[in-house]
Amino acid sequence: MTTEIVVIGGGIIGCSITYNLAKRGKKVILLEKSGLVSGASGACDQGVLLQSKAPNEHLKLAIYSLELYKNLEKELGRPIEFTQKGYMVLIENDKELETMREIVKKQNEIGLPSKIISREEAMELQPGLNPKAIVGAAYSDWDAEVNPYMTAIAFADKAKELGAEIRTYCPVKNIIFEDNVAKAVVTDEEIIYADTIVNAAGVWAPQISEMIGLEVPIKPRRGQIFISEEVTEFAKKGMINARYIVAKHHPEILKNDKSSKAQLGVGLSFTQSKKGNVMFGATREFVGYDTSNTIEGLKEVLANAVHLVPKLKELNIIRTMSGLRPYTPDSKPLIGYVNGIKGFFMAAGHEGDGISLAPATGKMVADLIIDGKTDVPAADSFDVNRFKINSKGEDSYD
Amino acid sequence: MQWKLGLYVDKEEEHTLDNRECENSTYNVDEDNIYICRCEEVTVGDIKRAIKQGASSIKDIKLRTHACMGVCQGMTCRKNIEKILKEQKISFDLCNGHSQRFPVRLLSIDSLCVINEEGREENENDN
Repeated sequence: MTTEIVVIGGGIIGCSITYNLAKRGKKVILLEKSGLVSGASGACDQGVLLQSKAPNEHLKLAIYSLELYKNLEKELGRPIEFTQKGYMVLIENDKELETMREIVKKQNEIGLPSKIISREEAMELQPGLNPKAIVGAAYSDWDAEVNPYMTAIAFADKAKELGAEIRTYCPVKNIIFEDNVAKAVVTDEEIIYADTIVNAAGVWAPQISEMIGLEVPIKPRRGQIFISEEVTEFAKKGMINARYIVAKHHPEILKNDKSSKAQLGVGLSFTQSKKGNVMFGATREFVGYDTSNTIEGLKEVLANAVHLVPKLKELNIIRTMSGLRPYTPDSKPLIGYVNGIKGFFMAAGHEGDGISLAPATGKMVADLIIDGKTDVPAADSFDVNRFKINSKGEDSYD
Repeated sequence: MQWKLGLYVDKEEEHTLDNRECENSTYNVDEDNIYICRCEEVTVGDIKRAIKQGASSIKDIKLRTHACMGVCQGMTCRKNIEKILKEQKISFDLCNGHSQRFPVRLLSIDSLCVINEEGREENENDN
C-alpha cells in the first residue's frame, strides 16, 4: 500500500509527530514494534524541565515546548496531568554553587526566570530535606510536570481521530532504498510506500538507520527509577540536584571519580505523580540495551536520595522501572532530512529531554516535512547533518 | 448453596431467580461495572474500553487504565485481565509478559537503607 508519511516509533516523539502531521491533513501511518511508549517514554518520570537544559538553543526550544504544553490537554481533548509546580536544583557544596550561579545567569539571559535560593528557603519549599546535605538551591517556578505516557497516548488517540493509522506490534523489518531514495518500509504483513519515512525510534534509531547504511551516533543510556505507593502530598516541588546536571552535560567531570556513585552517573530526580506515587532516581549508565533494575543502582540511588531527602524513609517502594535514554554526543536530538538522501527524516536522540521537547519536536518535524521550514526557535541547531551520518553520499540531494 | 452468576444462592430461592431470567441481563448484574483492579479501582468496562482503543497487552492496559499499578502490582487482577484479553481475541503471543521487577512486595525505604550500611563502613575505612 501507499501513504504519504510513515513514522517509525510509537514513543512520545513518534506520537507527537504523527499527531502534528495528521493535524495538517497528511496521511500518516505510525509503526511501533511493541506497544506505545515501550521505550524511554514509558519508563521515565514526569519532568518538563527547563533548568536541566544546557543554557543555549536547547533551552530556547524547551521554553517554546513548555508553552505548547499549556494548551495541549484542551487541544487533544484527553487528560495529560500537566502542572506547573516549579522545580528546585539542590546544591550540595560551594563549587556547585559557583557553577549554578553561572548557569542561572545564562538562563536568565535566555529568558528563563530562575534564581539561587538559600538553604532555609529550600527547606520551606520542600519539607523533609536534610539541612546538612545542601548549601542552597536553584529554583524556577516555570518548571513543570506532565504524565508522559498519558501524553503520548493522547497524541496517538487524537491523531487516530484525525485520520492517522496507528499500528502497534508491527516492527519494521527493512527499508526499500534505491538510488539514494528511501521508498518504502517492509513489515511482516506488507510493504508500505511513502514519500517520507520518519525515524523516531529513539534508542533503536541506529538499527533503523542501518537499514539504509547510515551510522547514527545514538547510544542507549539507562536510567533507573524507584516508585513508592500512592501517598498524600509529599513532593511540594519537583527536584533534581546540581550533580544531575553535571552528570548529564559534563560526564567528563565525573570520569576521574571512581566511586560507584559517579560510575553509575547518579543524580537526584524527585517527583510525585498526580495519582500520588513518589518517584525518585536516577542513574545514567551505558549498559547497552539492558533494562534491568540492579542492586547497585538501587544502592546508589537510595543512598543519594535518602541523604538529600531523609523524609523518604517514611515511604515504601512498590515498583522499580528502568528506561533507555537515547544519548547523543552533544546532548541534542538529531532532527531533519539526511543530506544526500531523499525521503528519510531523522527525529531521535532526545536523551532525558523527550518529554519536555515532544510538543515542539512534533510541530518542528511537521513544519519541516510539509513546508520545508519552521518557526520553532533554534531548529537549525538540531540539524541531523551536524554529524556525518551518511558516509557514502556527501552531496545534498538537490 | 449453589453458585449462580457469581452469587451464592439458597436452593429455595433458585426458582425465583429462574423466573427473573437471570441468564439474561434483566437480573441486575452488569459485568462492566465489576471492579477488576481494586487497588486502582478499574472496572471490567474500563479494560474493555482500553482494548477497544487499541490496548493489546497487559502493559498497554496498564498505561490506559492504571490497572496493575497499585500496591499489589497486579497480584490480584493480572490473571483476570489476561483472561479478558483472551476473550477479546487478542493474540496472547503478542502480549509481552508483564515484567516482574523487585520488590516482590511493598518494601519500606527505611528498612532498605540497611543495604548501604555495610558498604559505607567499608568506604570509610578505605578513605
